[in-house]
Parts: sequence; structure tokens; C-alpha cells
Amino acid sequence: MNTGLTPPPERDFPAGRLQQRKEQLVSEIYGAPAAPRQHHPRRILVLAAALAIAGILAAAAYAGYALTRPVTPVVTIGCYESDSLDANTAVLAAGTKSPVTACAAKYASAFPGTQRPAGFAACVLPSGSIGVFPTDTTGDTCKSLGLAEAP
Amino acid sequence: MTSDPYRTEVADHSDRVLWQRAREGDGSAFGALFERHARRIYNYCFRRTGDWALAEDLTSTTFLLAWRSQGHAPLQAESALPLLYGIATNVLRNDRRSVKRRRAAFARLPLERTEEPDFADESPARLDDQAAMRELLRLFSRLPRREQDVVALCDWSGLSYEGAAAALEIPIGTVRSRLARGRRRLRELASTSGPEADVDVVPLRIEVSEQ
Repeated sequence: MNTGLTPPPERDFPAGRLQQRKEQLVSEIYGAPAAPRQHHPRRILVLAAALAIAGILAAAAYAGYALTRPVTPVVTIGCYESDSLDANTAVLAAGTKSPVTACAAKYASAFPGTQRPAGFAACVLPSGSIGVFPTDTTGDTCKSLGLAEAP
Repeated sequence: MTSDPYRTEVADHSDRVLWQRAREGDGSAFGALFERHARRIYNYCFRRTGDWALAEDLTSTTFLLAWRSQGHAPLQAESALPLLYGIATNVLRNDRRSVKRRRAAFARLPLERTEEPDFADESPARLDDQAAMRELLRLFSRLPRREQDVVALCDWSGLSYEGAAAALEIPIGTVRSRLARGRRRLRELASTSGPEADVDVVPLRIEVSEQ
């Protein structure tokens, strides 16, 4: 480094996400998750069957769990620009205020130019952390996103 | 992970061999290339954006575009890194809407999610990284874009002159001259600018401190 201006040290991908990203890419390119060639077809078939069964059981368990899951202790919350999981997100430190109050207070400065919504809804994200979304008066925002309402 | 003998086998091959196997339809070979180089592209993208989450998306985009643009042909160099750095540099030049569109495309893919929290796992150190990097980028963004590219590749990512030349598809002499100018200009800016640089870096994901 010859400029005297040193960037922060390099870091690894967050745990677990490297594998997730890899599967995402391979799926996009090849149309299916990466699979080793069949050097041991019998073993792989047994493994695939076991994984399929485990996957079905996990999916069933998760479906029942998703709408009632507790909130993971958080240090930050996500404040979304619109009622979509793909929307721009401001990351707020989880202070003593409620997530909705914190998001409402920072919404205008985080998303300048975006009209302030009628209200906000705090939902439990699939990751277990809290996301706050703009909402109308119907109050079904979390449900419409397939998420549980935060307590 | 290491219990998979095939995975160990592909990981031992050169980039050129893995690329060729990937071209023949071997998804594991492409996955091995991703595992081998994702960390460096991830950190390069972070240092150009000051945003870890965006860097993650840009890393995926880089590999996808590398494949779509170059997957029809054999890999020319022994290492895929210069190609990946070059594509990442082009991706970083794209406008905000393109990046957002690709993020949405990836988000639509039907994949199971890991159980780690999206936001709770943002360690204080990573938040500090982002703040420090954005401060540096305020200064850095005053350089001409061409000089930013070579300084980021050579000084921040440790790429050789030859590697940077291959990545940017310019002569080595041009890399050297842009690097020298960029370093000099950056030192001058650092010596004359206070911490309140007036050039903004606008990431897709915005950190708002609530202290």
C-alpha cells in the first residue's frame, strides 16, 4: 500500500452464505444445484434419498414454525423502504425504542424523496431478525409477505 | 464438506481445468471456482462500495456475468482472477438500477435460506469497516475513474501490474502510469482534505446510526 490510505482488512463471506451463493449460481447457470458426478452412484442415491426425506420433514416443520417463531435477539433491525423483501433497507441499531418507532424516526432521512407511509409494521424475517415495513391501514403487511408479526 | 471426495478432487485442479470442466456441464467445477475466488472478489467489491451486503450481491453478479460472457470459450489465462476482477470492475460501473435488478433476480431464485439472521449477524467490526471504508471512498471517489480502478486493483487487492492490465484490458505501461498518478493524487488529496470530504458515496443499503 503506497498511498498511506489503507482500507479495512479483508474478511470472509458470512458463515453459510458462501455455500448458499454457490448453490444459487450453479442453479442459475445449470438449472439445478451442483452435484458431483456419479463416482459412487449407489452411495449418492442413498444420500439423495435421505436428503430428500430430511428436506420434506424440515420443510413441513418449518412451515408450522415460520408464523410463530420467536425473535432472535438482535443488535440491529432492518427498516425497509417499501413493503417488499427486495426493497432498499436501512440498517438501524436496535436501541431501547421499539422497532417501529426507530424506523419511523429514521425513515425520512434514510429514504429521502420517498413519501412517508401511513404506518409501519414490524415482522419477523425468515432469518429470525426484525424487519419493519411500510404499511397501509389494513395491517396485513406481515401476513402478505408470509412473515409473522413481531411481538 | 471435506467428506465429499469429488469436491476435494476438483479443488486440486487449476482454474483453466475447472473452467473447461464447467463448460462441459460440470456444475461442481464452477462451484469450486466460486469457492476459490469469491473471497477476493467479495473484498474487492466491498472496497469499491463500502457495503458488505452489496459486495456479496456484486460477487454473485460478477461470477454469473463471467460465465455468461466468457463461458463459451476456454479460459485464456491460467488463473480466472484477472477475468473476474475485470468483470467486477465493469459491474461496479453499472448504474444503481442494474445492480438492484440483479439483486431482485437472485432473490427470486427458489433457494432455502440459512438460519443466520440477516442483520443481527452484522458484527460491530463489519459496521466499523463500512464506516471507515466510506470515509476513504469519499476521498477516493475524487480520483478519475480509470485511476480508481488501478489503485483498487493493485494497491487494495494486491493484483500485479500484469494482472491489472489483463483485468482492465490495457497495456502494462498504462497501468503503471495510472497507478503512479492515482497514488500521487490520492496522497495530495489526503494531505489537503479534512475528514469532511464533500463527495458522497451512495450505496444501495444505508447504515443509519442511532446513537
